[in-house]
Amino acid sequence: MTTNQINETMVKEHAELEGLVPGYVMGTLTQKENSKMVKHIAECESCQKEVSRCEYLADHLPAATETWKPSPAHFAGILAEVDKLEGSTVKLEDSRPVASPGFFRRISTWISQTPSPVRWTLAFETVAFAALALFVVLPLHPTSGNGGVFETLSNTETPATTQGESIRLMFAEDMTTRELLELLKQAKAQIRQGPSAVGSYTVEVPAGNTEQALATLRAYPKVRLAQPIGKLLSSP
Amino acid sequence: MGNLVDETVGQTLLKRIAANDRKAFEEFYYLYAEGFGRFLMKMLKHREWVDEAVNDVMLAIWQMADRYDPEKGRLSTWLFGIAHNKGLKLLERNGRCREESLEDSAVEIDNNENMVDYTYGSFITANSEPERVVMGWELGDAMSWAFSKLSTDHLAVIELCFREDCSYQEIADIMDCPLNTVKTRLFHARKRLAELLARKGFTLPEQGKVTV
Repeated sequence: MTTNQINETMVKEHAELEGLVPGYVMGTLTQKENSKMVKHIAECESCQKEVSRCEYLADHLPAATETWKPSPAHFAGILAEVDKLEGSTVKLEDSRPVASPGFFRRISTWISQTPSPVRWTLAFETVAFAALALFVVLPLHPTSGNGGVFETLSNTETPATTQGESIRLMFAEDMTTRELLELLKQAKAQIRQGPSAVGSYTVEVPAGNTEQALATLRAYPKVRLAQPIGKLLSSP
Repeated sequence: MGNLVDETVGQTLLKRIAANDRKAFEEFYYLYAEGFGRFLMKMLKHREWVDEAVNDVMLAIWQMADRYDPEKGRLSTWLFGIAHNKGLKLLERNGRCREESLEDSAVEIDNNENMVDYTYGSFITANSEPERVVMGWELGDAMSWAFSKLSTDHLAVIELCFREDCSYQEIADIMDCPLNTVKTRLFHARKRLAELLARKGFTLPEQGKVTV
Protein backbone atom coordinates (compact mmCIF):
# COMPACT_ATOMS: atom_id res chain seq x y z
CA MET A 1 0.00 0.00 0.00
CA THR A 2 1.41 3.40 -0.98
CA THR A 3 1.51 6.41 1.33
CA ASN A 4 -1.28 8.04 -0.65
CA GLN A 5 -3.45 4.95 -0.33
CA ILE A 6 -2.81 4.82 3.41
CA ASN A 7 -3.76 8.49 3.75
CA GLU A 8 -6.91 7.93 1.70
CA THR A 9 -7.93 5.02 3.93
CA MET A 10 -7.26 7.12 7.03
CA VAL A 11 -9.42 9.99 5.73
CA LYS A 12 -12.26 7.61 4.90
CA GLU A 13 -12.03 5.96 8.29
CA HIS A 14 -11.90 9.34 10.00
CA ALA A 15 -15.04 10.51 8.21
CA GLU A 16 -16.76 7.31 9.26
CA LEU A 17 -15.64 7.32 12.88
CA GLU A 18 -15.50 11.00 13.76
CA GLY A 19 -19.19 11.00 14.61
CA LEU A 20 -18.72 8.18 17.09
CA VAL A 21 -16.35 10.05 19.38
CA PRO A 22 -19.05 11.14 21.89
CA GLY A 23 -20.32 7.56 22.08
CA TYR A 24 -16.75 6.33 22.59
CA VAL A 25 -16.21 8.80 25.42
CA MET A 26 -19.51 7.87 27.08
CA GLY A 27 -18.96 4.13 26.56
CA THR A 28 -22.20 3.64 24.66
CA LEU A 29 -20.71 2.19 21.45
CA THR A 30 -21.08 -1.43 20.44
CA GLN A 31 -18.05 -3.64 21.00
CA LYS A 32 -17.26 -3.65 17.29
CA GLU A 33 -17.50 0.15 17.00
CA ASN A 34 -15.41 0.56 20.12
CA SER A 35 -12.60 -1.66 18.79
CA LYS A 36 -12.51 0.34 15.57
CA MET A 37 -12.43 3.60 17.52
CA VAL A 38 -9.56 2.46 19.74
CA LYS A 39 -7.49 1.63 16.68
CA HIS A 40 -8.39 4.85 14.89
CA ILE A 41 -7.81 7.17 17.81
CA ALA A 42 -4.34 5.74 18.33
CA GLU A 43 -3.41 7.08 14.88
CA CYS A 44 -5.69 10.11 14.44
CA GLU A 45 -4.57 13.30 16.16
CA SER A 46 -7.80 15.10 15.29
CA CYS A 47 -9.92 12.45 16.99
CA GLN A 48 -7.63 12.44 20.03
CA LYS A 49 -8.35 16.16 20.44
CA GLU A 50 -12.07 15.53 19.92
CA VAL A 51 -12.03 12.82 22.57
CA SER A 52 -10.40 15.29 24.91
CA ARG A 53 -13.01 17.95 24.19
CA CYS A 54 -15.88 15.49 24.61
CA GLU A 55 -14.49 14.28 27.94
CA TYR A 56 -14.32 17.85 29.13
CA LEU A 57 -17.84 18.49 27.90
CA ALA A 58 -19.18 15.40 29.67
CA ASP A 59 -17.52 16.49 32.91
CA HIS A 60 -18.57 20.13 32.70
CA LEU A 61 -22.09 20.09 31.36
CA PRO A 62 -23.70 23.17 32.85
CA ALA A 63 -26.45 22.52 35.35
CA ALA A 64 -29.84 24.03 34.62
CA THR A 65 -30.11 27.58 35.88
CA GLU A 66 -33.46 26.61 37.39
CA THR A 67 -34.23 23.24 38.87
CA TRP A 68 -37.57 21.51 38.87
CA LYS A 69 -38.68 19.29 41.71
CA PRO A 70 -41.75 17.08 41.99
CA SER A 71 -44.25 18.17 44.61
CA PRO A 72 -47.45 16.81 46.20
CA ALA A 73 -49.38 19.78 44.79
CA HIS A 74 -48.16 19.04 41.27
CA PHE A 75 -49.00 15.37 41.64
CA ALA A 76 -52.46 16.28 42.95
CA GLY A 77 -52.96 18.27 39.75
CA ILE A 78 -51.96 15.24 37.70
CA LEU A 79 -54.38 13.04 39.64
CA ALA A 80 -57.15 15.55 38.98
CA GLU A 81 -56.37 15.23 35.26
CA VAL A 82 -56.45 11.44 35.61
CA ASP A 83 -59.87 11.73 37.28
CA LYS A 84 -61.08 13.83 34.37
CA LEU A 85 -59.76 11.26 31.92
CA GLU A 86 -61.39 8.41 33.80
CA GLY A 87 -64.62 10.41 34.06
CA SER A 88 -64.72 11.04 30.34
CA THR A 89 -64.10 7.33 29.73
CA VAL A 90 -67.06 6.43 31.95
CA LYS A 91 -69.19 9.07 30.23
CA LEU A 92 -68.23 7.65 26.85
CA GLU A 93 -69.30 4.20 28.01
CA ASP A 94 -72.58 5.60 29.32
CA SER A 95 -73.32 7.41 26.10
CA ARG A 96 -73.17 4.22 24.09
CA PRO A 97 -76.61 2.89 23.08
CA VAL A 98 -77.81 0.62 25.87
CA ALA A 99 -78.54 -2.85 24.62
CA SER A 100 -81.55 -4.73 26.08
CA PRO A 101 -79.49 -7.27 28.02
CA GLY A 102 -77.68 -4.41 29.79
CA PHE A 103 -80.96 -2.80 30.82
CA PHE A 104 -82.44 -6.08 32.05
CA ARG A 105 -79.19 -6.90 33.83
CA ARG A 106 -79.41 -3.61 35.71
CA ILE A 107 -83.07 -4.24 36.61
CA SER A 108 -82.16 -7.76 37.68
CA THR A 109 -79.32 -6.45 39.85
CA TRP A 110 -81.60 -3.86 41.41
CA ILE A 111 -84.26 -6.48 42.16
CA SER A 112 -81.75 -8.90 43.63
CA GLN A 113 -80.54 -6.12 45.97
CA THR A 114 -84.09 -5.40 47.22
CA PRO A 115 -85.19 -7.16 50.46
CA SER A 116 -87.50 -10.10 49.82
CA PRO A 117 -90.72 -8.72 51.50
CA VAL A 118 -90.37 -5.43 49.67
CA ARG A 119 -89.75 -7.29 46.42
CA TRP A 120 -92.98 -9.36 46.77
CA THR A 121 -95.02 -6.34 47.84
CA LEU A 122 -93.81 -4.43 44.81
CA ALA A 123 -94.61 -7.38 42.57
CA PHE A 124 -98.18 -7.68 44.00
CA GLU A 125 -98.76 -3.95 43.64
CA THR A 126 -97.51 -4.03 40.07
CA VAL A 127 -99.89 -6.88 39.16
CA ALA A 128 -102.84 -5.16 40.89
CA PHE A 129 -102.12 -1.91 39.12
CA ALA A 130 -101.88 -3.69 35.76
CA ALA A 131 -105.26 -5.44 36.37
CA LEU A 132 -106.90 -2.16 37.36
CA ALA A 133 -105.52 -0.46 34.29
CA LEU A 134 -106.89 -3.26 32.07
CA PHE A 135 -110.30 -3.06 33.77
CA VAL A 136 -110.48 0.69 33.20
CA VAL A 137 -109.13 0.77 29.71
CA LEU A 138 -110.72 -2.32 28.14
CA PRO A 139 -114.57 -2.45 27.67
CA LEU A 140 -116.41 -5.29 29.43
CA HIS A 141 -118.76 -5.78 26.45
CA PRO A 142 -116.81 -5.09 23.36
CA THR A 143 -118.98 -3.61 20.62
CA SER A 144 -119.24 -5.40 17.35
CA GLY A 145 -117.32 -3.73 14.68
CA ASN A 146 -120.35 -2.84 12.51
CA GLY A 147 -120.44 0.79 13.48
CA GLY A 148 -123.71 1.01 15.52
CA VAL A 149 -125.51 4.36 15.43
CA PHE A 150 -125.89 6.14 18.74
CA GLU A 151 -128.66 8.73 18.90
CA THR A 152 -129.94 10.79 21.75
CA LEU A 153 -133.65 10.69 22.68
CA SER A 154 -133.54 13.72 24.86
CA ASN A 155 -133.73 16.21 22.02
CA THR A 156 -137.43 16.58 21.09
CA GLU A 157 -136.63 18.93 18.22
CA THR A 158 -134.59 16.36 16.30
CA PRO A 159 -136.17 12.97 16.95
CA ALA A 160 -134.17 9.90 16.11
CA THR A 161 -135.03 7.74 13.14
CA THR A 162 -137.50 5.00 14.07
CA GLN A 163 -138.10 1.55 12.68
CA GLY A 164 -141.77 1.10 13.84
CA GLU A 165 -145.01 3.19 13.82
CA SER A 166 -145.40 6.22 16.03
CA ILE A 167 -148.42 7.14 18.07
CA ARG A 168 -149.05 10.42 19.84
CA LEU A 169 -150.49 10.08 23.33
CA MET A 170 -152.02 12.35 25.91
CA PHE A 171 -152.86 11.17 29.41
CA ALA A 172 -155.14 12.25 32.18
CA GLU A 173 -153.58 14.50 34.75
CA ASP A 174 -153.76 11.86 37.49
CA MET A 175 -151.86 9.25 35.41
CA THR A 176 -149.06 7.87 37.58
CA THR A 177 -145.66 6.79 36.34
CA ARG A 178 -146.32 3.21 37.41
CA GLU A 179 -149.58 3.17 35.42
CA LEU A 180 -147.78 4.67 32.42
CA LEU A 181 -145.06 2.05 32.49
CA GLU A 182 -147.60 -0.75 32.81
CA LEU A 183 -149.63 0.58 29.90
CA LEU A 184 -146.58 0.96 27.63
CA LYS A 185 -145.59 -2.58 28.49
CA GLN A 186 -149.02 -3.90 27.52
CA ALA A 187 -149.01 -1.95 24.24
CA LYS A 188 -145.38 -2.90 23.55
CA ALA A 189 -144.67 0.77 23.09
CA GLN A 190 -141.64 2.88 23.88
CA ILE A 191 -141.56 6.61 24.50
CA ARG A 192 -139.66 8.41 21.72
CA GLN A 193 -140.56 12.03 22.46
CA GLY A 194 -142.24 14.02 25.13
CA PRO A 195 -143.72 15.34 27.09
CA SER A 196 -144.17 18.27 24.67
CA ALA A 197 -145.21 21.77 25.67
CA VAL A 198 -148.85 20.68 25.69
CA GLY A 199 -148.11 17.44 27.59
CA SER A 200 -148.22 14.95 24.68
CA TYR A 201 -145.93 11.98 24.20
CA THR A 202 -144.83 10.20 21.05
CA VAL A 203 -144.41 6.46 21.43
CA GLU A 204 -143.22 3.88 19.00
CA VAL A 205 -144.81 0.50 18.48
CA PRO A 206 -143.42 -2.32 16.35
CA ALA A 207 -144.41 -2.15 12.70
CA GLY A 208 -147.51 -4.30 12.04
CA ASN A 209 -148.63 -4.02 15.64
CA THR A 210 -150.13 -0.57 15.41
CA GLU A 211 -153.81 -1.58 15.47
CA GLN A 212 -153.45 -3.80 18.50
CA ALA A 213 -151.36 -1.20 20.28
CA LEU A 214 -153.89 1.53 19.50
CA ALA A 215 -156.71 -0.66 20.80
CA THR A 216 -154.85 -1.32 24.04
CA LEU A 217 -154.00 2.33 24.54
CA ARG A 218 -157.43 3.65 23.72
CA ALA A 219 -159.02 1.11 26.05
CA TYR A 220 -157.13 2.51 28.98
CA PRO A 221 -159.33 4.96 30.91
CA LYS A 222 -156.68 7.57 31.62
CA VAL A 223 -155.60 7.89 27.96
CA ARG A 224 -157.18 11.03 26.49
CA LEU A 225 -155.61 10.77 23.04
CA ALA A 226 -154.03 7.93 21.01
CA GLN A 227 -153.40 9.05 17.44
CA PRO A 228 -151.14 7.19 14.90
CA ILE A 229 -148.71 9.57 13.17
CA GLY A 230 -146.78 7.15 10.97
CA LYS A 231 -142.96 6.90 10.94
CA LEU A 232 -140.81 9.54 12.62
CA LEU A 233 -137.93 10.78 10.48
CA SER A 234 -135.08 12.67 11.92
CA SER A 235 -134.69 16.08 10.43
CA PRO A 236 -131.28 16.87 8.90
CA MET B 1 -33.66 9.64 34.91
CA GLY B 2 -32.36 6.38 33.53
CA ASN B 3 -29.05 6.62 35.37
CA LEU B 4 -30.46 6.77 38.84
CA VAL B 5 -33.45 4.46 38.78
CA ASP B 6 -33.29 0.69 38.57
CA GLU B 7 -35.06 -0.33 35.36
CA THR B 8 -36.75 -3.33 36.96
CA VAL B 9 -38.29 -1.13 39.68
CA GLY B 10 -39.69 1.16 37.02
CA GLN B 11 -40.97 -1.75 34.95
CA THR B 12 -42.74 -3.28 37.95
CA LEU B 13 -44.38 0.04 38.77
CA LEU B 14 -45.38 0.47 35.15
CA LYS B 15 -47.17 -2.90 35.17
CA ARG B 16 -49.11 -1.84 38.25
CA ILE B 17 -49.94 1.50 36.62
CA ALA B 18 -51.28 -0.40 33.63
CA ALA B 19 -53.71 -2.02 36.10
CA ASN B 20 -54.85 1.48 37.23
CA ASP B 21 -52.88 1.33 40.51
CA ARG B 22 -52.71 4.95 41.66
CA LYS B 23 -50.31 4.20 44.48
CA ALA B 24 -47.84 2.82 41.93
CA PHE B 25 -48.45 5.93 39.82
CA GLU B 26 -47.51 8.11 42.77
CA GLU B 27 -44.36 6.09 43.45
CA PHE B 28 -43.46 6.30 39.77
CA TYR B 29 -43.95 10.07 39.84
CA TYR B 30 -41.57 10.60 42.75
CA LEU B 31 -39.05 8.24 41.17
CA TYR B 32 -38.97 9.69 37.66
CA ALA B 33 -40.53 13.17 37.60
CA GLU B 34 -37.32 14.90 38.69
CA GLY B 35 -35.51 13.35 35.73
CA PHE B 36 -38.28 14.48 33.39
CA GLY B 37 -38.10 17.93 34.95
CA ARG B 38 -34.31 18.18 34.53
CA PHE B 39 -34.49 17.14 30.88
CA LEU B 40 -37.48 19.35 30.11
CA MET B 41 -36.08 22.35 31.97
CA LYS B 42 -33.11 22.29 29.58
CA MET B 43 -35.45 21.99 26.65
CA LEU B 44 -38.19 24.45 27.65
CA LYS B 45 -36.34 26.84 29.97
CA HIS B 46 -39.54 27.95 31.74
CA ARG B 47 -40.67 26.42 35.03
CA GLU B 48 -44.39 26.80 34.18
CA TRP B 49 -43.88 25.02 30.87
CA VAL B 50 -41.98 22.24 32.63
CA ASP B 51 -44.87 21.85 35.11
CA GLU B 52 -47.22 21.44 32.18
CA ALA B 53 -44.92 19.14 30.21
CA VAL B 54 -44.25 16.82 33.18
CA ASN B 55 -48.01 16.77 33.70
CA ASP B 56 -48.48 15.71 30.06
CA VAL B 57 -45.74 13.07 30.35
CA MET B 58 -47.30 11.54 33.47
CA LEU B 59 -50.76 11.47 31.88
CA ALA B 60 -49.31 9.77 28.81
CA ILE B 61 -47.69 7.19 31.08
CA TRP B 62 -50.99 6.59 32.86
CA GLN B 63 -52.71 6.02 29.54
CA MET B 64 -49.99 4.04 27.76
CA ALA B 65 -48.36 2.06 30.56
CA ASP B 66 -49.47 -1.22 29.01
CA ARG B 67 -47.75 -0.37 25.72
CA TYR B 68 -44.18 -0.48 27.00
CA ASP B 69 -42.33 -3.55 25.76
CA PRO B 70 -39.01 -4.24 27.59
CA GLU B 71 -37.81 -6.24 24.59
CA LYS B 72 -37.90 -3.13 22.41
CA GLY B 73 -35.60 -1.06 24.59
CA ARG B 74 -34.77 0.41 27.98
CA LEU B 75 -37.56 1.96 29.99
CA SER B 76 -35.57 5.19 30.26
CA THR B 77 -35.45 5.40 26.44
CA TRP B 78 -39.22 4.97 26.24
CA LEU B 79 -39.73 7.62 28.93
CA PHE B 80 -37.28 10.10 27.37
CA GLY B 81 -39.09 9.58 24.06
CA ILE B 82 -42.37 10.58 25.67
CA ALA B 83 -40.76 13.54 27.48
CA HIS B 84 -39.04 14.78 24.31
CA ASN B 85 -42.25 14.48 22.34
CA LYS B 86 -44.32 16.31 24.97
CA GLY B 87 -41.65 19.00 25.25
CA LEU B 88 -41.76 19.63 21.51
CA LYS B 89 -45.55 19.72 21.50
CA LEU B 90 -45.54 22.22 24.32
CA LEU B 91 -43.07 24.42 22.44
CA GLU B 92 -45.39 24.32 19.45
CA ARG B 93 -48.45 25.03 21.60
CA ASN B 94 -46.73 28.06 23.05
CA GLY B 95 -45.91 29.35 19.63
CA ARG B 96 -42.21 28.78 19.93
CA CYS B 97 -41.17 26.98 16.78
CA ARG B 98 -38.27 24.62 16.87
CA GLU B 99 -35.18 26.55 16.14
CA GLU B 100 -33.54 25.60 12.92
CA SER B 101 -30.51 23.44 13.44
CA LEU B 102 -27.18 24.12 11.87
CA GLU B 103 -27.86 21.52 9.19
CA ASP B 104 -30.59 23.79 7.86
CA SER B 105 -29.36 27.24 8.65
CA ALA B 106 -25.98 28.54 9.62
CA VAL B 107 -26.77 32.20 9.90
CA GLU B 108 -27.64 34.04 13.08
CA ILE B 109 -27.61 37.55 14.34
CA ASP B 110 -25.15 37.81 17.19
CA ASN B 111 -25.45 39.95 20.28
CA ASN B 112 -23.69 42.82 18.58
CA GLU B 113 -26.30 42.68 15.82
CA ASN B 114 -23.67 41.70 13.28
CA MET B 115 -24.41 38.97 10.81
CA VAL B 116 -22.01 36.14 11.51
CA ASP B 117 -21.73 33.19 9.18
CA TYR B 118 -21.34 30.00 11.16
CA THR B 119 -20.43 27.72 8.33
CA TYR B 120 -17.45 25.51 8.89
CA GLY B 121 -15.14 27.92 7.07
CA SER B 122 -16.00 30.94 9.16
CA PHE B 123 -15.73 28.83 12.31
CA ILE B 124 -12.08 28.38 11.42
CA THR B 125 -11.84 32.16 11.26
CA ALA B 126 -13.38 32.49 14.71
CA ASN B 127 -11.11 29.79 16.01
CA SER B 128 -8.13 31.60 14.62
CA GLU B 129 -8.41 34.19 17.39
CA PRO B 130 -5.75 33.87 20.08
CA GLU B 131 -6.64 30.68 21.94
CA ARG B 132 -7.61 31.23 25.53
CA VAL B 133 -8.31 28.30 27.74
CA VAL B 134 -9.82 29.55 30.95
CA MET B 135 -10.83 27.15 33.66
CA GLY B 136 -13.20 27.88 36.52
CA TRP B 137 -16.36 29.88 36.72
CA GLU B 138 -15.60 32.06 33.69
CA LEU B 139 -15.60 29.13 31.32
CA GLY B 140 -18.57 27.72 33.21
CA ASP B 141 -20.49 30.93 32.55
CA ALA B 142 -19.54 30.83 28.89
CA MET B 143 -20.64 27.19 28.70
CA SER B 144 -24.00 28.06 30.26
CA TRP B 145 -24.46 30.90 27.82
CA ALA B 146 -23.45 28.74 24.86
CA PHE B 147 -25.87 25.99 25.92
CA SER B 148 -28.66 28.53 26.19
CA LYS B 149 -28.00 29.45 22.56
CA LEU B 150 -28.19 25.89 21.23
CA SER B 151 -31.22 24.82 19.24
CA THR B 152 -33.69 22.42 20.85
CA ASP B 153 -32.45 19.52 18.75
CA HIS B 154 -28.78 20.21 19.43
CA LEU B 155 -29.38 20.63 23.13
CA ALA B 156 -31.38 17.39 23.23
CA VAL B 157 -28.65 15.29 21.57
CA ILE B 158 -25.95 16.76 23.83
CA GLU B 159 -28.01 16.17 26.97
CA LEU B 160 -29.04 12.65 25.99
CA CYS B 161 -25.52 11.67 24.98
CA PHE B 162 -23.40 13.32 27.65
CA ARG B 163 -25.73 13.54 30.63
CA GLU B 164 -28.08 10.61 30.21
CA ASP B 165 -25.57 8.13 28.73
CA CYS B 166 -27.90 7.20 25.88
CA SER B 167 -26.49 5.31 22.92
CA TYR B 168 -26.91 6.73 19.42
CA GLN B 169 -29.65 4.22 18.69
CA GLU B 170 -31.48 5.19 21.86
CA ILE B 171 -31.20 8.87 20.98
CA ALA B 172 -32.59 8.03 17.53
CA ASP B 173 -35.51 6.23 19.17
CA ILE B 174 -36.15 9.09 21.59
CA MET B 175 -35.97 11.79 18.96
CA ASP B 176 -37.72 9.63 16.38
CA CYS B 177 -35.09 10.17 13.72
CA PRO B 178 -32.59 8.02 11.77
CA LEU B 179 -29.34 6.93 13.42
CA ASN B 180 -27.23 8.95 10.99
CA THR B 181 -29.19 12.08 11.87
CA VAL B 182 -28.14 11.61 15.49
CA LYS B 183 -24.47 11.44 14.47
CA THR B 184 -24.87 14.52 12.28
CA ARG B 185 -26.71 16.45 14.95
CA LEU B 186 -24.12 15.59 17.56
CA PHE B 187 -21.34 16.65 15.24
CA HIS B 188 -22.99 19.97 14.43
CA ALA B 189 -24.03 20.55 18.03
CA ARG B 190 -20.42 20.20 19.19
CA LYS B 191 -19.24 22.46 16.43
CA ARG B 192 -21.88 25.05 17.24
CA LEU B 193 -20.89 24.90 20.90
CA ALA B 194 -17.26 25.48 19.97
CA GLU B 195 -18.25 28.42 17.78
CA LEU B 196 -20.29 30.01 20.54
CA LEU B 197 -17.46 29.58 23.05
CA ALA B 198 -15.04 31.02 20.56
CA ARG B 199 -17.20 34.14 20.31
CA LYS B 200 -16.59 34.66 24.00
CA GLY B 201 -12.90 33.88 23.57
CA PHE B 202 -12.91 30.37 25.01
CA THR B 203 -12.02 26.96 23.65
CA LEU B 204 -12.53 23.54 25.14
CA PRO B 205 -9.29 21.94 26.36
CA GLU B 206 -7.74 19.64 23.80
CA GLN B 207 -5.14 17.98 25.98
CA GLY B 208 -6.82 15.84 28.54
CA LYS B 209 -6.76 12.36 29.82
CA VAL B 210 -6.75 10.76 26.43
CA THR B 211 -5.75 7.22 26.74
CA VAL B 212 -5.64 5.03 23.74
